[in-house]
Amino acid sequence: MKEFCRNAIVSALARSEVLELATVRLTAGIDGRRTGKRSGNALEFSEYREYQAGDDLRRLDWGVYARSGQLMVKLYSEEVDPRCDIVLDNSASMAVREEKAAAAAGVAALLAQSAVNAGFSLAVWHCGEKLEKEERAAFPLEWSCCDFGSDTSPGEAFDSFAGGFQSRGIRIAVTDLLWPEEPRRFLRRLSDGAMRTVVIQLLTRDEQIPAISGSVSLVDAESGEVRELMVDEAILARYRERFARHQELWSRAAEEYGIRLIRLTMEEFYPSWDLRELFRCGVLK
Amino acid sequence: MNWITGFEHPAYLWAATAVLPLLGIYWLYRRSKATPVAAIFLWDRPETTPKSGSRWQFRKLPLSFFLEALSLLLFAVAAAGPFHMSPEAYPVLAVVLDNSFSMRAATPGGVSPREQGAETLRKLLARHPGRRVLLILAGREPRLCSDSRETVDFERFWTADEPAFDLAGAVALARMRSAGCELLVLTDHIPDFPLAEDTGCFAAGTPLGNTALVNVRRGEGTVLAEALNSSSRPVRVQLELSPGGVAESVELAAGERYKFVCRIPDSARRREIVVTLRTSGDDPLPFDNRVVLLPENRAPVRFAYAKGLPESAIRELDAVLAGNPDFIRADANPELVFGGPDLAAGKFHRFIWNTAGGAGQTTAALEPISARPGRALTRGLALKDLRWKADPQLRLPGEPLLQRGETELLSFRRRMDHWSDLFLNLDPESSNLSRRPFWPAFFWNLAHFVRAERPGPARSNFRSGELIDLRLADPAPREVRVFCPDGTERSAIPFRNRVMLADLPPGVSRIEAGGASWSVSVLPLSAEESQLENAGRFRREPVRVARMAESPRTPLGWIALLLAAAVLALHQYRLGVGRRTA
Repeated sequence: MKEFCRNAIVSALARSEVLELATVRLTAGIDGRRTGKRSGNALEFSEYREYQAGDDLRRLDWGVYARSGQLMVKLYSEEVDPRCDIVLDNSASMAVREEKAAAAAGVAALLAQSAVNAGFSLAVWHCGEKLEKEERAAFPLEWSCCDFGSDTSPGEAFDSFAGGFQSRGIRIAVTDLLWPEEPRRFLRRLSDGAMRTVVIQLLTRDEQIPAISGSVSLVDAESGEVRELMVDEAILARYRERFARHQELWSRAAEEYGIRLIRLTMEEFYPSWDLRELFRCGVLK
Repeated sequence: MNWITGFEHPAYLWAATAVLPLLGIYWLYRRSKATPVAAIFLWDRPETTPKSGSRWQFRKLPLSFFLEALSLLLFAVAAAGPFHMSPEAYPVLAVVLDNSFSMRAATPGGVSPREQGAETLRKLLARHPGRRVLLILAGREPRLCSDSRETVDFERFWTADEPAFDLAGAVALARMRSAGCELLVLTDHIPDFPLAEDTGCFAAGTPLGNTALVNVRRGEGTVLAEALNSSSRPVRVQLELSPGGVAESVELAAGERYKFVCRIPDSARRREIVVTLRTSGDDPLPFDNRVVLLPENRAPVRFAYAKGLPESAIRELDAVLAGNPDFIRADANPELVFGGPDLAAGKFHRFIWNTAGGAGQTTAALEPISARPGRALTRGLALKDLRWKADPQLRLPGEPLLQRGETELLSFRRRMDHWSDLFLNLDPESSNLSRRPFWPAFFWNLAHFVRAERPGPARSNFRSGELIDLRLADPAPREVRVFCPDGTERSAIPFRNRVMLADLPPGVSRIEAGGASWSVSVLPLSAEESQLENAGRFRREPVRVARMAESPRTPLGWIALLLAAAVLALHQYRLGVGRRTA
């Protein structure tokens, strides 16, 4: 593990001593201690909603129908196992700056420690050439694959992933989402079988608003492709436009799959570990 | 129109090269640095953005560079002192064009001196439109081809096909036509005479080895051809006759001349023959390797004896004419009539023989006989050991051709009707002429003379540069037209039933006069021009003639200076704006 990553993990662990991974709601007296949002074969009644075509007729509350003449369906909170999978993007684009890599490793360690603090069954996945499960997930300082040197994007790595996430758990991916393939394939595979999926997009300010100008040789961190450019306002405007389109694409896809997409700007988040956004989104408590 | 027609100090234009260090400075400052990015796909490719580009695109240099470079260039131009002169203010430009055929020589794939010279001249003429330009062809004889302020298509008459070039004569002609002119000589030889300061020279020749036909002659049944190898190495050559095929193949040593004697096939006796010299390697000048020979139609001279010609004279004439195939006796419609002093004139040449060398009136036999030089009738006559008995008192009409002291022996007179008379003062009884080489040689000359007097050219084949003397039948037509092999057409007005045709282009030309027509072939043969090893490369710009400095001119340097100052001011303004916004 690189020195700056180790330092970031140390400081993140210090910050996470009192943190716990949060879910939407807690129930008591049953086997599962946390519940998912989706209706299903849960033990606890959750709420009513109007009948929609395709709903199971067995769930109709005939009593309500008798009283009000409305077809209402009973919704139940589904039981959720206390499981958490954290996927850390290990591609080289995460280390385009050392601070970005340190922040990514730190936030993953912070979430892992929070999950442990909350009693989750934890699995950490390093997403390099392929997804590799970390043996010592609960001990971030001993993680083995934190070099951020892979030239494969998570989108490609997920293509060759045979499966192995814990089912009906919470899945959190820490990545920058900066690869050109379309997002749906990646998000579908990430959220498949999960009760809740959170994607934390970690970007630097430079990646959002580039501060370069003049003659530059842009080198892609992953592919090594070089592009000679004279960067001027016109080309910067084009970048900003394309970046906004890229972000919009991911937002729509995440919304489509019910995935919570949290965007963090590295400079605002690290090294002070400003976790307000994670609290606000209900990831931590 | 050229606004800038010259510079006072053109050397200062070198200062414009200061732009290069400026470019270097900008390049060093604007070198690109490697910047790692997470997502290069978000950056447009240079070719996809109309407003941006890669750093190698020159247009992406900042405006400040172009402003500074422009001001530098303008300062350099201002220092060089540009000026404008009207075309009338320029001195006359006289261009001497070497028209010899060695100007066509070129290595395979190379450019001939003529083409290089034409390109130079084209640029020169384009530089100063409206300037008066004399174009003088330096061929066998110099001649003025153009004197104009308009653009002239000089390629049309600069044919480069003559067997000689008279550069010195052409330069002299140029000076005679326009004193104080600026001179330019376009040639392929380094001039062998000193050039004046105002004379520029562009010699673009290259010493090359060449094989060529330098002499070709067509006889009754044979072709005599002489080939030259002017290169420094042996060359295998073969002579081809068409029709006839390959005549002979030999290897010529360096500098060797070789004579081919080839038999003309019977079927081609009356047809034209193409003689081609083929070489084993590349020939830099194919022009001098091929000639077209026309058949020489030389009908025998028809002669007759007039009544009253003494028997002794007839006997002597019979003895010499019977063995000469160039003469044939024709009592009807003869061309030449032998007779005595009483022979009346007619439509024929008269040979009037005065045999009255009476006793006691003969000339001294030992006194030498003198001949008037340069006359066709006395060419090559052996005058020694002749015993010539003649009447010393007899005065022959016309121009005396042979004399012994005061005694006139032979004279020539052209009559008003364009026929000729020959007067012979000879007593055959006491003379030995008919037993000497003089006698048959004289009649060969006579046959040649009479044939040359017939309508048409004297021969069918001429060397390039030879004068073609065309005789016309009486009455002569008003105009003679010549159709040249290069497609051009010429016309000439006969004078006294004759036309002298000069400088016909090589090849077969057709001459039409009234209802008659003849063909003549001009052979491009010249040993001097085929010797390409003397060609050379030499270039000298003419020093501006004295009149040039005095010509009225408008200085333009101040405009360049003002523009430079304006550009600098704009540059400073931009820098100021930049500082304020920073």
